[in-house]
Amino acid sequence: MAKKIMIVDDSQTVLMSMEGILSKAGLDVSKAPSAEEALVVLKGGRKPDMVITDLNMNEMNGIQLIREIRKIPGYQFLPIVMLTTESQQTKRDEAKSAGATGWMVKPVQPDNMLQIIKQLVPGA
Amino acid sequence: MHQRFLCPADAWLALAAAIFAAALDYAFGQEKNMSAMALWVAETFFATAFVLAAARQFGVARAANQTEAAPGTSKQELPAALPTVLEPQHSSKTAPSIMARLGQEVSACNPIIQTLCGHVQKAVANTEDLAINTMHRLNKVDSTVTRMTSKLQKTSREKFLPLIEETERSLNSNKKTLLAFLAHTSDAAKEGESRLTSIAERVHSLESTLQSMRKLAKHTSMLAVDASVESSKNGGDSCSFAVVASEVKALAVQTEQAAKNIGECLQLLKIAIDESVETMVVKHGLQERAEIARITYGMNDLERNMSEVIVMQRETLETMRNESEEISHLVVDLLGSLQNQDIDRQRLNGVTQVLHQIVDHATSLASVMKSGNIDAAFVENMLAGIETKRQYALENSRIAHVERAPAPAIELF
Repeated sequence: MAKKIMIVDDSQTVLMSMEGILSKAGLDVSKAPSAEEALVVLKGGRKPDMVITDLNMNEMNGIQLIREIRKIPGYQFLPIVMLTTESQQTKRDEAKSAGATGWMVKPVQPDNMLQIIKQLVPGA
Repeated sequence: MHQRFLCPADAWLALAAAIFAAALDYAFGQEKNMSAMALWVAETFFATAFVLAAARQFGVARAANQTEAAPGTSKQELPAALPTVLEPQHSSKTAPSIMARLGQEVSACNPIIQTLCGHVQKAVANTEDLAINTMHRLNKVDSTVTRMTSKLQKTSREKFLPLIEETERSLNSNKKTLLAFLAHTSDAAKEGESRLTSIAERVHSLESTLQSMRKLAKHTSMLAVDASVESSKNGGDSCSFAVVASEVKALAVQTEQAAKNIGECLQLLKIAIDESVETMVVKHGLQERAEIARITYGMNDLERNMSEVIVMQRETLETMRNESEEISHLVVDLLGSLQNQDIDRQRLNGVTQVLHQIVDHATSLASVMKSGNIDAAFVENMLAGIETKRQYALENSRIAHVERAPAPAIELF
């Protein structure tokens, strides 16, 4: 069965781009254009194998999303990786404290991203 | 009375306006960091100008108070930090008008900046549409190539290869049939040859019998001659004997003739047999062998060609598969590169925000300049605002990806 990856980003370009890359690698991709919508899906019981989220989004940002996800029962060890334009160490540290599993700076090479997914999701 | 030179506060204002214009230039050219720094410098100069102007006003008031309080006090006792020229009459008439004029100029920039913000947002929307259309087309290209390759593989697997295998089986079967036929023909020819040989042998034995008949006829003829001679010797008593002798002679002659006829027939038969052997075994056999050999060679050529076709088909499919994978890889790379659109989007959004900040700030500055209502509280607020703007510009630089921190692009915690 294909592994499920959720992409959270307010940019439709990024959502479509990631969906194209990951689906071609044989992954099952779900998209959320905002942190709020992502939480609705996650709390609804549709647990993915990994979440990739942007940092700077309207309303709720990526770091807040991570904190909310970690509060959901059973999601403490879900791999959550940031995919963002941010490059400051303070933001990295903040994400790490919030519970992020990893950090990727855009633009990330598709091969590198798939490698990370392979490392974090056994069987991907 | 001090000689009036160019008022430093006015100079500071002029410099500030120039730097502000430079900030706008940088903003238009999307040099966001430079725009932010220029804005910060312009605001510093504005603040300095305001401080000087305020100080001048304060100094003028104090000088007036000091003049009233202590008529003998010299104007050289005023603080050294104040501008060189202190001509209350000139300062009070020219500074407000210059500031009001600057205020008008600053206000005039606001609509331009607002228009630029609109253009930037439009450009962001256009690039996003373009990126999305590009992705749709890329996905279509990829799916078309994948579908084409799959169809070729399917056709090859389900139709072409089975057809080739069936043809190969048929060829092998036909070859076996031909070889069996060749063997059978050869056997049949040999059998025919042996039968004809057998017939020839019987003909030969008939010839021996014929020779015997001839001898018999000759002997009978001699016997008839003897009988005739004896008959003539015995006279009238042997008439019957003479008749018998004459009949026997006639019989001998007939026998001889019959033997001769049989001999001729046998000779013709022998010739016919020889010709049959020649025709059937030699000519036809050779022709058949030659035909069968041609057919066999043709089948071998066909088999060779089909093997080559199979190899070429496999190579073509392999090439198509490799090329399809290459196209797929390129499509993935292109999809990945479209992340740059998001980076530029955020950068341009940051520029727009800075421009809005400039507009807001310029609006409030212009309003104050026009009113001429400058006081210490305003200057203090503006100085505090400068620091806020500087932090904001740095924040946008970070978000807009202009300055990269020396950290890995990918990191697992």
